[in-house]
Order: sequence, then C-alpha cells, then structure tokens
Amino acid sequence: MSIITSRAKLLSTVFSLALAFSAPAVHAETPANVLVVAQSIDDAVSFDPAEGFELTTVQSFNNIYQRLVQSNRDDGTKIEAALAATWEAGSDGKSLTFALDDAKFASGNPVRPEDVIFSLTRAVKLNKSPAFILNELGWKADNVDAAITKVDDKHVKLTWTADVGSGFALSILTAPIASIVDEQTVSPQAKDNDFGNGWLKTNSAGSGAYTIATYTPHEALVLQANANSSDKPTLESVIIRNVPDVGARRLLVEQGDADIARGLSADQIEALKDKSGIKVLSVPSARQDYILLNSKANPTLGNPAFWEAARYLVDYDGITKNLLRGQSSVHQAFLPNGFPGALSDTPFKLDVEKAKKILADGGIKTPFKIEFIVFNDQPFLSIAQSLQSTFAQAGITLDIQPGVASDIYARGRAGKFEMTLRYWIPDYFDAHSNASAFAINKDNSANTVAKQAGWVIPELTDETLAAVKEQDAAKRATLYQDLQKKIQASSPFVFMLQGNDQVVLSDKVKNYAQGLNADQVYYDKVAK
Amino acid sequence: MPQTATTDNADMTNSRQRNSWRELSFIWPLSKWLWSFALTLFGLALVTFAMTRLSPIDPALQLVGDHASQSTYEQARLELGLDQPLPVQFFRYVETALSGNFGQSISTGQPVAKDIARTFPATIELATAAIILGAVIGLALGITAAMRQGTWVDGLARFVSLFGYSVPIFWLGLLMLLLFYARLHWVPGPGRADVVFQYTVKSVTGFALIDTWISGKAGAFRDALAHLALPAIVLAFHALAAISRLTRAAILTELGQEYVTTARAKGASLRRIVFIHILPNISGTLLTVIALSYASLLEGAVLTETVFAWPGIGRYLTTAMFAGDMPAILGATLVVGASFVLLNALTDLGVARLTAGTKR
Amino acid sequence: MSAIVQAPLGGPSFLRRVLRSPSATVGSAVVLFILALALLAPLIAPYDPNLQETANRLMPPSAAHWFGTDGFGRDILSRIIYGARPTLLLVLVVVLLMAPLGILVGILSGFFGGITERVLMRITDIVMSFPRLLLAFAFVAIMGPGLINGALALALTSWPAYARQARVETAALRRSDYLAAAEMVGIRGVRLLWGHILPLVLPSAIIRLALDLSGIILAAAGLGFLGLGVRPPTAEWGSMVSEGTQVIFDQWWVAAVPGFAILITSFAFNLLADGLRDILDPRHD
Repeated sequence: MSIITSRAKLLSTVFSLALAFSAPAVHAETPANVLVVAQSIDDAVSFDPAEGFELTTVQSFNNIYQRLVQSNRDDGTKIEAALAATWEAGSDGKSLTFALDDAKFASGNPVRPEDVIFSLTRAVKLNKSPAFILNELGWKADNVDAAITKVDDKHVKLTWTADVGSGFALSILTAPIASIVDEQTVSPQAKDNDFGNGWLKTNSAGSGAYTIATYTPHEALVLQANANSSDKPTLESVIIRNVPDVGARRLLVEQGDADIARGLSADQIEALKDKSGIKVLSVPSARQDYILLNSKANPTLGNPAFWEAARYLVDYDGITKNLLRGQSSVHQAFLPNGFPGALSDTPFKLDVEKAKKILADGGIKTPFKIEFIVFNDQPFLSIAQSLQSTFAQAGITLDIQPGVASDIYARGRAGKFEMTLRYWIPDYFDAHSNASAFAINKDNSANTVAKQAGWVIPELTDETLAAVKEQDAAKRATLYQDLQKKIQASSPFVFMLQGNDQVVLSDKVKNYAQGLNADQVYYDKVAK
Repeated sequence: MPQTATTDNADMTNSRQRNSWRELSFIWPLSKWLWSFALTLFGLALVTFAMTRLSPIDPALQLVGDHASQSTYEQARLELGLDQPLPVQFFRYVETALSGNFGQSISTGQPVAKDIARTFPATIELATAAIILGAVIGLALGITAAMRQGTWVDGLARFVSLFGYSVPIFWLGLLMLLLFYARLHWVPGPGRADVVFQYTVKSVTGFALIDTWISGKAGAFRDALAHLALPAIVLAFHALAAISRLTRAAILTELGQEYVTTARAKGASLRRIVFIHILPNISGTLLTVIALSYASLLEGAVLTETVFAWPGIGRYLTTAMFAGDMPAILGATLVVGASFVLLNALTDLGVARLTAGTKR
Repeated sequence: MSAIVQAPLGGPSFLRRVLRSPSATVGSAVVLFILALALLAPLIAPYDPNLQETANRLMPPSAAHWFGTDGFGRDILSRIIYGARPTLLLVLVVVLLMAPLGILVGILSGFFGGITERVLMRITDIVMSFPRLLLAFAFVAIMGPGLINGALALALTSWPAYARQARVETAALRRSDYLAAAEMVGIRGVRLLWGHILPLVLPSAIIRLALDLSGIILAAAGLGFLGLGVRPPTAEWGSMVSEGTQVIFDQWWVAAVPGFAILITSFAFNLLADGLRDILDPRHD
C-alpha cells in the first residue's frame, strides 16, 4: 500500500470515481482513463534526469520532461523543435543559439533560459552515470558555466570546445540527460550542494505530458497528467506496475488487468499471437547483441584468424528463426539499422568447414577450450548454448559460466575474461555513440569496448574522430560505412543480432508509439 | 535460560521481603537476554558486512553502469565510502544503525527504514496467513496419517503433504495463478491490491488486511483478502509438509511408549490416547516445528513474492544483494534476524511452559 | 524399560526389519532404481543429452521422444536419466554436511545447557538469519564456482533447523527417567550422547532430511546463476525445472517431467525415512 502524497490526492479522486461507477468484481478491468503497464521496474535507480540511466527511468523521462529539441517519432534522424522553437548555428561552428517557445512546467512556472542553464550545468557538475554524454561536447564541471549563457529572456546560447559540429550537438541535446527541469521548484529542495538531486530521485519537475504522482520502489510508478503541458496527454494517468515474473505479466495482460506488458519471452509471445483481445507490436530497436573477445587473454584469442573463424561459427538463422523467433534479426555491423550510415550487409553465415580451414590456415590448433562468461538471463543463456553447440563442431569447447551482471562488467573492465556475450544500446541518437565505443582506442586510456577487448587501434580512432567532426551528413554516412566495413571484416567483436522489441498490448490500447532508441516510449497519445 | 527463570521462581517464598527480590530477578534475566540479543545482532551485522564485501559485486559499478566514464565511477566509489578501509566502513554503518535509521538505500534512493516499514509487514502478513493454514492442515494430516499408519489413508496423507513441498514453489504459484485467476476467475491477479484500491486506501500499519478494514471502503477488505488468498495457499502448501511429517513421526514414536501400552491395556481408545495423552507430551516439539516453518516462510518467501508481485522484504533483500546495496542488505538482514531471534526466544518460552511438569 | 539399545544398524536382522516395513521396502526399491539410472545412464539413455536440434525444439511427447524435447531440441528423457547423477551427488554432499553439524550443535546445547547452550544458540540464530544467497556470493569469490561449492554453501546455511529440533528433543530427554537410569548405571559423556541420545534424536532428523531433499535440489538450481550449480548444458533436474518454467503455460512438460522426477525421488526417500524411523525407534518392537 502506498502512502498518499498531496499530489496524489488528485489521483485518488480519479480512482474514487472509478470505484463509484463500477462495483469492483474479482475480475476487474482496468479503469478507462488509466493505462496500466506491467513490466519490471527493479532497475530504476533515480528519476533525476541527470542521474537516471536505466531503461525504466529513461523511458519515463520521455513522458515527464521535454528537451530543447527532440527526435522525430517516426524518423529518429530528423530533429525537431521541442522547448526551443528555432535555433541558429554560430558562425564558428561551435555554438548554437536557441529561441525558447512559450511553455510551462507542471508547477505553472514558465520555461526560461535560467531553467535551461540550471538543468544542463547541474547535469555536468553532478557527474552521474549519463554525464559522459554531455562530456562529449567538452563540457566539464569547470567550464560548463561559461559554456551556457542567457542571451535574453527568450534566448539561450550554448557553446562547446570539443571538435564536433552543430548537427552532433543537436543530437546530444535530444538525449534524456538534456531534459529541462524547473529550477524554481528544484532549487529550494537542494541539500548539501546536490542541486536538488536527492529530491528529484523520486519526484518530478518537468514540462512533459505527465508528472510523477507517486513512486514506490519495486512496486509502481504512477504518472499523472500534467495540465500545464503544451503536450497534453489523452489519458489521465499511467501506472507502471512492477511485475517481476514474466509468466505473471503475461497472465495479467491476457486477462485485461494490464493494458501493456513488456519483456515477455519469444516463446510466450509466440503463444499469444493468436489470442483474441491482445495484439503484439514488434518495434525495431537499436539494441545489438555481440560476442566480445579479449584479444589480450591468450595468443589464440588475439589471433585475427580466430576472430574471422568465429564469424562463421554462429548459427545466425537458427538463433533468429528458432530460438529467438522474431525478437531479433541478423545484423553484423556496429551501427544498427535505422541509424544513418548503417551497414546492412550480412556476409557471414554458419559455415563450420570454412571456419575450420581459417583456423588451420591461421596456425590455430584444435581442440581447445575457452571460458565463456554470460549474463544469467535470457536471451543470453539461449544464445550462449547455441554458440556452444556450433563452436564445438569446429573443435572449440565453450565453457559457459553464467554470472551476475555487475561481476561480468567488472571483469570486462579489468580485462579478466576470455569471451563474453554483450549487448549494446546507443546512448544518444547519433552514430558516434556506437562508433566511439567500438572504433576508438588510441592507447587504452579511455574506457571503450575496444579497450575492454584489448584492441589498440590508433588509425581507426583517428578516422572515427574525423567522422564526428564532419558537418556534411552524406559524407558522414560514408565515413561510418567505411569504418563498419573494416570492423566487420576483422575485429575482436562478432556482431550477430539486432533486436526487435516485442510489446504486448490489449486491443483497447490505441496510438501506442515506440521508437528505435531505448528511451523512445511515448504514452501521451495513447487512448483506450 | 527459561529454565533458570523457572527455578528462580520456584525458590520464591511468599514473604513480603521476597517480593522485591521477585521483581529484581525478573530484570536480571531480561537484561541478560537483551545483552545477548544485542550481541547476536552485532555478530549478524559483522558477518553480513564481511560476506557482502567479499562478494564479487561492485556496488559502484552496479550503480553507475558500464557506460559511465571513469571519473563518474570513481566519484561514486567515493560517495559510497568504498575507498575507506573496511573496519571504518563497518563502524560507519553501525553508527547509522544505532542512530535509529539504517541509512539510505543505494538502489532505491529512499531511507532504508522507510523501505522496510513498507515491505516487512507485507511479508509478515503473507507468512502469518500461510502458517495458520499450514499448521492447521499440517497437524490434521499428520495426526490422521499417524492414527491410520500403514493404510492407504496414511500413504495419501503423506503424498499430499510431500507434493506441495517437492513441487517447485515457482511452478506451483504460476499454475495456481493460471487455474484460479486466468481460467476460473476465482481470485484476482498478482499484486497486493486492485489498482483501484491501491491509491485510495491509506497505509497506516502496512498490513493490507488491517488498513482496508479501518478504511471502511466498500469491497477493499474483500479485495485485500482475495489477493492474499492464493499466495498464502501456495506458501501454506510448503509449510504443511514439515509440520505434517514431523507430527506423524512424533506421534508414532510416542505410540511405542510404555504409558501408551498401559493405557491401551486399560481400554482407552486410540483417539483418546492421541488427543489427551500424546499431543500434550509432544506439544513442545510441535511448537518448535511450527516456529521453524514460520521462520523459513519469513525468510524464504522470495519466490512466491516474485511470482505474485508481492512487494515483501524477501524480494527487497534479494534485489539489494544483487546491487551490493549495503545499507539495505544490513537493514533488512538485521530486521529479519531480530525477528528470528525473537521468534526463537518466544518458542523456547512456549516450549518451557508446555513441557514444564511433564515427565516421560 | 530396556535401557540399552541393540545396535540398530548392520547385520542380517536389519535387512529383515527393513523388509518388514512396507514403507522402507518401497522406498528403498525406488531409491535403488534411481541409483541404477544414474549409474547406467550411458547404457540406457536413447540420445546424447546435450545434442541440440533447434528445429525440433519444444516438441510434445511422442514415439521418438517419450518425454518430448526442451527449448534446444534436446531429448528430455535422456536428460532426466543423465540428470540423476549431479542431482544425487549434490544431495549427498549437502546431507552429509548439514545433518551431522546441526545434530551435533543441537545435542550439545540441549544436553549441557547453561553457557554452552546460550553460545551455540546465538550462533544458530545468526546463521539462521543470514541470507543464504549472500553466503553463496561470498563463496564464489573465495572458493570459485562449482557444484560442490554450491552444495557447501547450502549446507552451511541449512543446519540450524536440525540444531533447534535436536536441542528441543535432547532437552526433553535430559529430564527423562530413561536417561537417569543410564547415568545411574555409570554411562557418561560421549558414550551417553552417542549411544542414548543420538538414536532418539536421529529419527526426526532423518525425517527432516528426507523432506529437505527436494528443497535442496530446487535451491541448488536457484544458485546455478552464480556458477554454483552445474554449467550449461549439463543436465540436472533442478536447472531443467528452472529452464522449463519459461514455457510453463504452453509446453508444460518441459518443467513438469523433471519436477515429477524430483517428486518421485523425494517421495521414495521419505518412505525410506519413515521406514528407518520405525526401525531405529528403540522403543519399537
């Protein structure tokens, strides 16, 4: 049972009306003006946009806060106005001046340049998980105050020192960390110079369609319509319920006690496809699954012949068609389909004989064993067992060791692993997010995926930095294609799959939208 | 300990002088007990802290995630106090615990005390409902099996009691949900209360049954009860196994005793012997068994809580462990631990009461 | 009352007593059958338990696959047969560690009382309150992954129940005429504990052990993700149940078959335990 906050009193009126008009039977349908979502919210750490960086939190930021600019819902590559009505790039190519639209926060306060400055500078100074995104612009705690300035009551100017163009800067500003918070509401709540972080962990102060009515960790997040928003939602309230068990989630949505269910497995979705009253929405996502090899672990793993052979020992079709059934498609480059410049060639297929030949030609003797650490979760365990089976046909024994996520990540960072299965979700909607992870490692100083693979690539690093500098969109795309081809051909990464997010909806739900990137979940237009 | 208290009391005379002694002699064992209680909790905290620090979970990495920059990671380490030597870290936790609250949870961002005040009553409610059901049915099954030893009734009773325990509780829960919720619509779905009531009933005690009753809202109490029914039954299935099996064994053991043969020779019926003679004699053992089952329900309800989306302390502790969330782990473990110690102490007192004066 | 107990174990009279108890007979027969399955697995199993045929995954029981196939197209019957091995091994290790430790602590505290009892019971309380998973985590760090280490982690956190039960029974026995008689005859110390108290405390401990069996198998499966169980693709009943729970609503046999195997094994051991209780009870015929 949750404790009622004063803001939730309005919410209780909503439900009391529902109570009054329908004698709640044991088999109750969800109230007509409330959207009930069944998923896991155990990952949520904080609802402060400067801190939250988990799926649950970034998806909610989309609905609670607005940014200066946002990605178009249908085509993520297009950037459109949000809190900023128009913008102008500076002549030096390193600044942008935004003209703010008339918008109001949930509190009724207008959105002013002071709020923009507050939001962005606090995000950099707090230096929490997603801060690295803003660091891409060269913003650091000591220079960010000077970088973001108020021009007049309606204009704010952003400058940056990093060697990047304004197109890139705009992409960065569409990321959830660049959400604009209501400075006049948040500042009074600040304690010990935390810029209101402690309060914003469980409360909201945004201009988006919804506000946080109550948040009970591990139980539910209740969102309530924001009357002052320029983006008025159709439904009065959204309740995101924590239902940790996947089977229970499925039962809830089947019975109509939940309108949306997320995170169901491929087999369950297969079984639900023909049920009446519910529909399955398959949304392409930017998430990719890949094998990460530690080239420093031993000479075999550092041998490019092994890298190449591994590409032919993955049962791409078997995994996507039989095991994962529509939850993934084959994709073998580091930019996912939907990103400009994505390479959609898939030259590799399961070919054990070819792999054996490559190994022999490369001087690698079989049989040998590799320690394969895997997240103890689906779909990783399934994929891992499939790989075990196909690699075995070439004489390579994969010793699967399931483990806890943070332990596996720690080992990855420390370079204490041989082979692992990972996933990557872009942090912001720009090719550089992925490129900087896989194609940058000058000297093992920055923590990129290439570094975790022990792969030092000064030339590729330079190419990648050149690509992010490039202002012309078409040229940029070509540069990234080039990079992808090189990495696809030879690297200690084996890209295998790009995901499809399968969401189960009750037939009553209309206008549900979800985009390519992880945070792009939109509840404001949903109707029942 | 209870034995010392009884002997002290037995030595008391009725003189007025001794009455004041009587009061004092109550305090001394009590304070001894409190001291040992505090020591136990301290020992538990120490062991828990040591094990958590030994585990391969890095709370800072868990918090900031793998994409974060190195400076963010290091800042998190500092904020969590992970750079300090271990004994210093431990004493900081003890300090916060003694000051009344357990600090702030790393993974929920809320005071641990608040989290526990919300989750612990949920687990207690579930476990208590389950143990009542489980004890009643378990005792009945055990007695029946013992009285009809060797017959098909015995076999059936043993099979039924074993079934609920040997079947994975996860499985049992999901299948019962499928049957009673999805197909028959006899009970509502996973969760503690219907969405409609969740946000209209005020939480006073944290116990859904009590809060809905006091709120007076029509249908709220029934709803809370309906939501409680299925998970309680699933857990009860689990609890009744140990209770019924050990009841049966205890009764059968007594049936072989001399005093039973004597009573039989005198013409007493089996029924009379079991209920009037045997059950009182084994009441101590039965109480211990029931208490042990209750303890395991309090601690082990995690799987049931997961399946039924029941926000109890089992799940809270488990997610805290995966996050390396030290304040939450310590807080939850100490609270559960304290309740175990209390439970065991009460059981010991109860056993002493029940067995005082019985001779074999 | 006959004070000294005849050696209850060993000798031809034991076998005769086992056969006289129907519980013990049926129980041991099934247990022996399962042991046979485990030992003869390579000879009996129709398929390689790790052979994947993803095109044939989640097939219902048929002539080719008597119990159907699992999520990777592996034959479930073969996996059940092979799975008996790690399952039984796990159970053996846990049982051999858990029961003696718990019973020892219980008897000592129940018999000596006083400070011994208090200290031992405090330790029991601490171990009882300690979250099992935490110890398992620490084990992975200190001793590395593996089935035996998982069994150890389980055993080290499960003995308190045995201790408390044994203590209650020992304390009750402490006051009994039976014990007083033995002491009067001059039997003291270890001989008293071993020869008189242990046999009386053992039956209920055996009952609890047999009951815990299925719990151990399932708990061990739960630790699998820490690397404290069998590694994929090794077949083991508990992990087969966990995997099968994913598809429980539509392909129920994947979890039901290993679950049933656990149930049958548990039932057999429990019958055996009931029979042993009958035999070991010195006050029985």
